[in-house]
Amino acid sequence: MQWLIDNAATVVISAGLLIWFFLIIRRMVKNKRAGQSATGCAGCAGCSGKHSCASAKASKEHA
Amino acid sequence: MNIRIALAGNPNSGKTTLFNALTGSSQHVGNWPGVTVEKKEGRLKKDSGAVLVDLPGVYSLSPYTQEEVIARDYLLQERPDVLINIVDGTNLERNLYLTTQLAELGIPMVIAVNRADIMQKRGESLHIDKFQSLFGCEAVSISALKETGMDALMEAVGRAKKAPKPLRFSPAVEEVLHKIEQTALKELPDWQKRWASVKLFERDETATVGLFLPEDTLQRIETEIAQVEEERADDSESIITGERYDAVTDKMEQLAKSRGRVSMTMSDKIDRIVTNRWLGLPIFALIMMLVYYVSITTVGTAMTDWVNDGLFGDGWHLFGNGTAAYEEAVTGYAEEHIWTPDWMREAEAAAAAEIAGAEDVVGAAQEKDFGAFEEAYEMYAPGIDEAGFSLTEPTDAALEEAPDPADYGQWIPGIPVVIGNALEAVNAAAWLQGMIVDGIVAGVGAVLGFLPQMLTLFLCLAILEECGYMARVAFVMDRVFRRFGLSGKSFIPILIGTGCAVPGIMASRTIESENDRRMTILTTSFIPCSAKIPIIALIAAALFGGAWWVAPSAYFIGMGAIILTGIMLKKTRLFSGHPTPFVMEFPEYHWPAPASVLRTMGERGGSFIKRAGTIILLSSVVIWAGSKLGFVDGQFMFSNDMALEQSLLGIAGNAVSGIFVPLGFGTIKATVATVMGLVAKEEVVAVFGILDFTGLTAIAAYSFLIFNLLCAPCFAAIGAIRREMNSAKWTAFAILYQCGLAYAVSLIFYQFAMLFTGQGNAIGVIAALAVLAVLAYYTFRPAERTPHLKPALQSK
Repeated sequence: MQWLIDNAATVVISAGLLIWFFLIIRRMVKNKRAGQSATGCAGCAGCSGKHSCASAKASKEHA
Repeated sequence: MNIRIALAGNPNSGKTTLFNALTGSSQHVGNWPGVTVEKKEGRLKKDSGAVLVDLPGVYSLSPYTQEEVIARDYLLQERPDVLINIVDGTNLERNLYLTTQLAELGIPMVIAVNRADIMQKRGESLHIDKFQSLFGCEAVSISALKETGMDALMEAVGRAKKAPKPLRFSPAVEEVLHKIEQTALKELPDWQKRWASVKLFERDETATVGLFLPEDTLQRIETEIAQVEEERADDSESIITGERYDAVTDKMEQLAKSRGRVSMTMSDKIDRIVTNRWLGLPIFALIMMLVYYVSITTVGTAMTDWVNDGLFGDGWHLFGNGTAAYEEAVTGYAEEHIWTPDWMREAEAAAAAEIAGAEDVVGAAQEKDFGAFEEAYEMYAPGIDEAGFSLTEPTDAALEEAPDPADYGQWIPGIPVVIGNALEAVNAAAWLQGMIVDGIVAGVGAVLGFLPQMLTLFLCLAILEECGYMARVAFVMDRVFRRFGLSGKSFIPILIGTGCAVPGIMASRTIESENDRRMTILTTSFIPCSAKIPIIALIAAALFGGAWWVAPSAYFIGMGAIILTGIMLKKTRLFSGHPTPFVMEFPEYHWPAPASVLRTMGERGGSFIKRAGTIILLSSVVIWAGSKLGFVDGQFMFSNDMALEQSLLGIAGNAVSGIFVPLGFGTIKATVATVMGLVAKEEVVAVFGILDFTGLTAIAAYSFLIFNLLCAPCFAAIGAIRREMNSAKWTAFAILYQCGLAYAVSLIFYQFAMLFTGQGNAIGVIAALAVLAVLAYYTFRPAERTPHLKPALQSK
């Protein structure tokens, strides 16, 4: 118990970071399953031609 | 009425606008190659029994593009009851070329002459009634945008029962067409005969493959066609095309009532210069140099310096108040306590011994630039110390007592300082402080530090795209690419690839030729994508003092690699073949809409920030952990002061760093950065944020830059290559080729640069010469002429 009190900040911050990491990994897995890039590449989102691009539409339909 | 009506016309002729007007739907309207590759269906607002089908915009019914094949297959196989051929009245000549082809399909047709409002404004008018005698079908003047003439159009559709009059070609051609119809097409229904005979004459295999004609019949037809070709000294397809255009020109003369004011538009005037045969390419090169110069060296750099040194550094004076006084004080202090004659002698000795970074440290001291000195010192001092030059002991002690910037004005501490102090205040464990400050903040901060430069680049590119210039670049590059066996169509994916290689690779779908498509996929990632910009900016700033030429040179290295690849691979059986024709409609030049430009910049910038907060953050933690966990005296342990060579990262990097020794960057850090670049290219910068540049000379750094620009892209792009190639073998080939070319170019650059600076290594130079000879052989050898052989890797 004393250890927990002494290291409360470390435990809380570590737990917060772990949740953050978990959310990032979960997002990457979801993206991968949706047929998008797991490594977070912007893909069509980063492209100015996405509104009218046939490839973007095709990938959206695929997803 | 229960009928099916097809809507066909050129791209940008107003099909989708008319479709929306007649059906009440709201399909997206745009102007970019491949806007509508699929057909759309809707029911008429005023008659729910009638179905309207919007076909992709096409310039002809040739089998060159996916859009043409979709439109043609639908018209022939589904055979709608009526065809509305929408033609742009302001560009009638080009639009009527397609009309002559549609008239051969034997489908009742109505011509909708669109943009009547604009024609009226220009003082142009047509003899609408003459369409009946010239094309054998009714024509109606409409404005799809203003929805005028809609009722008249639908009434004409209701009256259309007879197929239009097909074009009559020259007697010689008509004679052959007649013979083809009599000998080969007797079994076909009458409405198909004209279309099929013209296609047979043009040798359009995709249109006639279903006819199953016997070999001797085909041979007879071939003899007839060859005879006409000999007489006309032209190929059959060109003969038909030429006669169609001649007929269209003739009909135009008869249709024109009033020609209006014929004058060059502003776009025409600009195009005469920017697409000029001789000026087009230099103008493009100049514009790209300017874009990269402005983004990386000037506007972007000023902001980046603040983000790197202020926001993600020690901090900054609010509004700059107190900076001048502090700099004066700290320079005076350094001259008195750090840059002493003894210290300068030691530092100059280190520089003379060519210890990495020593020259930068000496240079900053000589120029009395304390900021640059501190930066260089922090980066290179450990290496200089390791080499036996005792600079750190007196310097570290003096730096402890250096003037505090907070004493000279309102000082805003940087993010690492704020977070570090907060963690200290709550008594967080040392390893956690290290992970957050030296891992996450250093790694993510190193990447985000380049955000201003990237936003400036995105802004410049968005302006060029919005104003219509980039569409012209594809045309300008078509001339260049065509010489090397590629077409301007390959430039569009490359252009999109400047944002991210993934959509660039996906955009290659619009290229019809399988060989050209593969070649484009293979080369798209050579052009620096947004993730590579921080690498370029980092190398330019850290090792070339922000030299203006580094960033543009990176762009042109990418272009050079594309052209070199085109030359070399087009000569092989795998990629041989003529490039397909490239047709692209130029949009009118216009001032970029600020909202649209800012949205594009924001979307690209946003995705960059998102990556920094996700994949870069995770990777930074992994790199940090790898550099702090290791084996000391055979014991696996964690230490904030772990020597890199003893860490897990160091051990792994050491195992493969030998590969890069001939390229000049066989250090653990550069190796780790290169490997981590496969996760995401920004990771290269994050690695240098967590580690440092010790051991890299300027020549080695440029070699490192070349390798990272040309080698295999990130995993996301590799995945896109795998999807688009649809073949593991082709994907492996692409990765091996990219890495091989990157290695070869880096080797040649590094070894010759070392030779020219008097530091050459005999074995290295011989190896570079051998690689150069191989590249030269593949570049200048004659092409392999085996068009009938199936590529070895063709099977999936």
